[in-house]
Amino acid sequence: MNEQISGIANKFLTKEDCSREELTLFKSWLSSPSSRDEVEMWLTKNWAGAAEMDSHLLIEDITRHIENYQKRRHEKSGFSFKSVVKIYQRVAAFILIPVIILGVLYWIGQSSRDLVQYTETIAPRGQKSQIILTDGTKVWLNSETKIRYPGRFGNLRREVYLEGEAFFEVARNSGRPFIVHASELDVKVLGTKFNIKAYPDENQIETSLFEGKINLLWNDPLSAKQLEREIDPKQSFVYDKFSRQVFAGRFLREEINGWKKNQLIFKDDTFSNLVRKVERWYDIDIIYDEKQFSDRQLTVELYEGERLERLLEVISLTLSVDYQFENGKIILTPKS
Amino acid sequence: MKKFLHTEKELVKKMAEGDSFAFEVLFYKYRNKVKGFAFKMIPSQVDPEEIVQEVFVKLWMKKESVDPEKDFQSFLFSIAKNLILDHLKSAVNRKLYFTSEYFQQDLLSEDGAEGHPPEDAEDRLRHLIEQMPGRRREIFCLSRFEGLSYRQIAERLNISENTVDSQIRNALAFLRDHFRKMILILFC
Repeated sequence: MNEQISGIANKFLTKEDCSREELTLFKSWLSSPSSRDEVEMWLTKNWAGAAEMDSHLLIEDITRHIENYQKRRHEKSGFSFKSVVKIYQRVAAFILIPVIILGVLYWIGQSSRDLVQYTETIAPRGQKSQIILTDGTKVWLNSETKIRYPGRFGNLRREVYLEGEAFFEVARNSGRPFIVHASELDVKVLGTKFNIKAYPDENQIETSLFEGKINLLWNDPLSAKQLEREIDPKQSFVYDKFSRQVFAGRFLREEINGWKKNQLIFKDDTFSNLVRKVERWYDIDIIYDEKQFSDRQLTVELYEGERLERLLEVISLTLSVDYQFENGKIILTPKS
Repeated sequence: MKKFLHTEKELVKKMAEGDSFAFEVLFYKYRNKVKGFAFKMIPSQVDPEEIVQEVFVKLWMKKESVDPEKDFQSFLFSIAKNLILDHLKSAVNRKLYFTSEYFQQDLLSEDGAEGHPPEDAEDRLRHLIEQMPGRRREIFCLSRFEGLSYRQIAERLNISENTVDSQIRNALAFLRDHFRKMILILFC
């Protein structure tokens, strides 16, 4: 190791600025076979002379990284076969055990005398579930949906809280309206069938009525009053969280409640909607650059147990998108 | 009574057989030494604890190839040495990138925010690069830091040159976007 190199090395390590020439010299010294012995000696000398320095790492930090590393390596090497099997297993779990219910009991103290006990049912990503409430109302929960309801409904009304998407078949009881609190929107019904989509990560809440009559209630930002609107069967209403307005529209039955029959339907869906649906259904993360796909729409119907590979194949062909699996995630890029 | 006093040879032998307790003992025995070495040998942007972690993760991965009859410290050193060398090389490459025209073209030229990159630009850039998705980061580093051509990268990673190109574009768009914000903050 000549003096020039050791000078540069010192300079570099003490964070002093090196010129391009010095850097280039240092780089070739570090990597060229002819100076390998010198580099080795330099490092050995420094290892021997290195003073101990308190490290604050714990063995847990190391074992955690080892686990991550092994998981990554496992996924990488086994991608072609193993990860596909894993996805199959997930899909299979979704078909065979559609009902996984996590019941969480907790208390909400409204007043010290009037305690209502709530139950929470969650359909996690990749799974769906169906529940029947104490009044006979049936609720189908789509993936990644949470519903909270009291163990016994009050005398005046039946109230539930929804986050996600659910189809309700409300048992008729004209004396006790059934109210779904979906984020900022309340849906009041007497007895009917309807679907609500109110995922927290989406800006719109969509309510579609199949039978009967329902009322939507929300707060008007201008007058600060509560507004109410009645909707008729076959109508679909979209509430926008930004503008706090509702928009009416018609809908196709299958498109809205297809998920309930294990049909995954995309009808002129925007790309980001599509991705979200697929993520929820198959419990998988999809990575893509939103800007590159904003102009693409897709209409496709898929049925129960459809393989994720086939869906991706369809998306890939119709939207000219390339997909690849990486670390258990799917990465979408525009076809070049 | 359980015997706690092991010779290092016994510990190493146990670790090589997959005993995690022996590994733990060796880790606590040597973590400070490795940190001291790392602290001395790497540029200040890299956290020496990061190296300590990498060294011991590697050690566990390679435990089967440890020979208990041989000096354990030399084995540990050889792992640390190779990691330090990698870090040094990529730090030199980063510095070279910073002083190159590439850097001006990639990040500074477009909106006329000329002149010197801000002082901690390198740290920030390193941080931004770490935020990129794995594949993109790999491609970007191969291109800008290792100086490989698109074709070489495509061959090494077994992907098309077009993919390399689009990944680099995306990486640059991402960096520019964040870098400009940063420069604006610094200069306003």
